[in-house]
Amino acid sequence: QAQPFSFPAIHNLPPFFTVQPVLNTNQKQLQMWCELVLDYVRHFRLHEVDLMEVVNSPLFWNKQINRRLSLEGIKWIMEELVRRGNAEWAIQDQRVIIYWRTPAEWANLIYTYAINNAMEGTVCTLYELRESEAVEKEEFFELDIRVFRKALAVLEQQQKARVFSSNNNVGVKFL
Amino acid sequence: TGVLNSMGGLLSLFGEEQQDGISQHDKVVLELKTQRDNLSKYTKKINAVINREVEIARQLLKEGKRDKAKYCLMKKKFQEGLLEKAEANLCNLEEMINTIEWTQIQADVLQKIKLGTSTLKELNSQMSLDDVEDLLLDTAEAVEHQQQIDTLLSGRLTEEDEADVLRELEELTREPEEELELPEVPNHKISTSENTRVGSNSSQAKKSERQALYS
Repeated sequence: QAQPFSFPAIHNLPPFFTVQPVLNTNQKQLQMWCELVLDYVRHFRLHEVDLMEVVNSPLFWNKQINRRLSLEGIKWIMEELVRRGNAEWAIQDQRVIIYWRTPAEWANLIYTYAINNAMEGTVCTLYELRESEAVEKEEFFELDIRVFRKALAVLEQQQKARVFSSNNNVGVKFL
Repeated sequence: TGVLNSMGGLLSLFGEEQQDGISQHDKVVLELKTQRDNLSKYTKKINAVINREVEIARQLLKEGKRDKAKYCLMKKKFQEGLLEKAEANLCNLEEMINTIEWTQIQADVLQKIKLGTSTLKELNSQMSLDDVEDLLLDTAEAVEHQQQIDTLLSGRLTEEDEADVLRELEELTREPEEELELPEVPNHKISTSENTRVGSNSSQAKKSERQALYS
């Protein structure tokens, strides 16, 4: 998104970047960081976060007040997001996939598109569903492939679609 | 074309659905659509190359390198030829895909009609004509029987009803006599000549009348 992201007021307070010792404050701080991270990735439509890179991003390093959240702090937030089901550790080291929209929500969007285009009972390629011109205006256009696959897995669970392959080509059949 | 050649053998397979709900047909359609996607990506790429060659040619002309520019445009011409062929292939593929989908629909319709016809046949076999005739006869007999009972019952009822009706009639004719208390209708004549005189004469008329009564 070209629009700049507006940080909440708390982001300008130095204590926010220090993991608080007092339990109550600590929990409140964690909650606010989680919300902030989700808002941030949602705004920029990021799906994956590399911890080594993001530690230098404006999200965790407020240059104006010269405060940054430590790597431990960032991990602390990511663990909480994983615990809540909003994120998942990626296979690669130090990388997190963040679901600012859950796979179930993505699944709904994809299925709604299929219904609106009367695609029940038909087969389409993965490319067609995710990258073709037909879906350019859709929210899930060029969605991170892992998140997309997870969404398809949800649809399979809900008996709304079948993912299959033929000669290394992946296709989706809506039921 | 490789895919299209192998189509002959695959098309003869009846598209039975396998356990996971994916039939052989589905796989074939997937392969066709993948080919279509690949061709589509290819045409996009060629278009990009063509545009780039034109830009380069323009730039070269600005620099006065006419021969090099001409060479660029020749390359572009060649690319355009490729593009045309690719687009023709794409057309064929789309047509094939559409035809398969349409044929599948037709096959489905035919299958459903077959099912409908066999169901109809079975239902018909459950109702033989003889059975129906027998049934109608039974029904007619039962109806006749019912009507006979009806006439019997209705005959008896009318007699009872008649007695009731007569009783009610008598009650009705009696009631008006008891209720009305009208005064007796007078039957003596009223003297008309004395009545026409008004004022003082009237008391004299009454006097003479009283006298007439006492005499």
